[in-house]
Amino acid sequence: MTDLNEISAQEIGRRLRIARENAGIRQDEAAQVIGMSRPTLVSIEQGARRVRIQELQSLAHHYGVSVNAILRREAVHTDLVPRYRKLKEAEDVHTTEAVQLLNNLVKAEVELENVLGIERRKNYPPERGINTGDVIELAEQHAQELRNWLGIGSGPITDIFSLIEFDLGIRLYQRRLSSGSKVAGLFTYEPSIGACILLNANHPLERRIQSAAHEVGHFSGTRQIPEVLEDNEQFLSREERYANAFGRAFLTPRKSFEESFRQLTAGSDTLTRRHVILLAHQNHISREACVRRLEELGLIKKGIWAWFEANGGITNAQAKEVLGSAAEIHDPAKDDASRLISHRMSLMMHAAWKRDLMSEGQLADLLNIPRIELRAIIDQIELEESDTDDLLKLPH
Amino acid sequence: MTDGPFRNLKLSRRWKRFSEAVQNDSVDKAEVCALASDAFVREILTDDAQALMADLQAYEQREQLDFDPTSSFEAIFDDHSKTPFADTLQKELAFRLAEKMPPNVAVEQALEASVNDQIIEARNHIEEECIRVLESGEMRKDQFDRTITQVDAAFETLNKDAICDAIRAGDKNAFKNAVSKKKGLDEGPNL
Repeated sequence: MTDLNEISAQEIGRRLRIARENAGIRQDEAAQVIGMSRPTLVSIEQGARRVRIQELQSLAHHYGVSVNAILRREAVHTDLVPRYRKLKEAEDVHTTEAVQLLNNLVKAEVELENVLGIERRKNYPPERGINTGDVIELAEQHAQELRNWLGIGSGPITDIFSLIEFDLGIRLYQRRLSSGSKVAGLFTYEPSIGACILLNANHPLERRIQSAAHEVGHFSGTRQIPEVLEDNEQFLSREERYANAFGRAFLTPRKSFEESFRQLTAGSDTLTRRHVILLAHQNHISREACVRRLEELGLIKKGIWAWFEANGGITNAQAKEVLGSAAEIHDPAKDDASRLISHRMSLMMHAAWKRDLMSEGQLADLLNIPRIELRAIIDQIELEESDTDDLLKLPH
Repeated sequence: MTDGPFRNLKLSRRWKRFSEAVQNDSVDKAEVCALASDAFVREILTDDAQALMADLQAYEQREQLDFDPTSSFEAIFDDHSKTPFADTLQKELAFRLAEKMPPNVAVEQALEASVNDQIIEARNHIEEECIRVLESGEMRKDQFDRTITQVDAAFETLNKDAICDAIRAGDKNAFKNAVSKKKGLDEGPNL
């Protein structure tokens, strides 16, 4: 553990404030715990007065964290939750759950990276800003420019999740939220940890692709503003309209999408279900997103998706009829989301444990899982490693 | 079909489907016309109205000379419950019989006049609903103007002969094929 005197009074005060806010405890209540007045606690949190070790122990105990968690050099003392407080959605229980989950995931991942000495590569283009001009035009332009910047041209994006994580270096998490949650995704940006996106893994793949592209829109245009994407949002701010348009333009750029539409429907005077299934599949988007994008681009009349809905929709069985086995899309992120912690987090946790950098108790606290479950994950990885080692032994 | 004010119109399911289709550019005129005809015929032809039409047809087909058709028709209408359509039909028929029109001709003309009257009623009802949602702020003025224009246009193109034939025959399913959902893989709206 880091010595109390190695950390400045300001830094330890900041960490105590974050721990108190995370625990949802008021300043006057915390001050009572250590038998002092509220102004004294304020001066501790502001770094004007150095906290004593007994006071630190009492406060940590009251906040439900260990002294070690407050003093650890590698620990992440950033709280994403307050960034969302000013949003109207933040009052909602589902949003609170999602924000807290994102916060926990970021803290755990960053601390494990710090402990293991992993440096995350960021490849962020400059924030564009959307203060002036038509947001839809800006979104189209910015989406194409981001594609050019990434060197992916105008074709369909086969794996937007890898693009976000590895090409842009954004922290991307896909985890399951409560079954009734209306949150589709979250975005936040904090200079010390970078851009972070959480997607609701309960949603089908095509929906998550759309949400991911929407969040990339926020990253591109309005990075400094945290955002919650909900189902069926009624009021759309300028930022939301930009992100929606950006998402569509990023996944289906006007020129290439129009070209593939024209090639597919050449010689036909109707837009059939078969056309929609093929075009959506080519572009890795949902059938609804495909038709709505065609409507938006003026390539078909408005209301065609409504026509399909009124006439029984376009079913998965029909998609299978057209695409055969290609209609079944592999979705590894969904399987990963069903695990208690993700594969990547499991491996980092195991490495930190194996190298004696963190104890089982510390890791269980950090990952918010029971120790017995943590032990089971470690045992499983150990077992798999020993099996792999056996395979590598050369025969005599 | 669309979000917003059109979902909130207090109309029967079929009239709602019509009013949604009417403002959707991707639904062609023939389909809109069929939706209106289907909604209209199904609304008129309740079980009792079907029985009334069957009795009127039976009267027309009988070979016996009737010296007091007014009383005979009165008896037929008295056997069935009062609906706005039956009421209009009875009045139109009574007026024509009083003019000494032959019963068969009187029934034909009364039916046409009643259908015309009920079409106007149906259109007014839809437009009143649109006014209600406009006044409650659920519908914008531009949406309202567009819907009224499209509803008027759709009602102008209704095939009244086909509607009269369906009602006379008591055939609720006369427009069923025209309004059935197009679910085929190679079916879709016009580009």
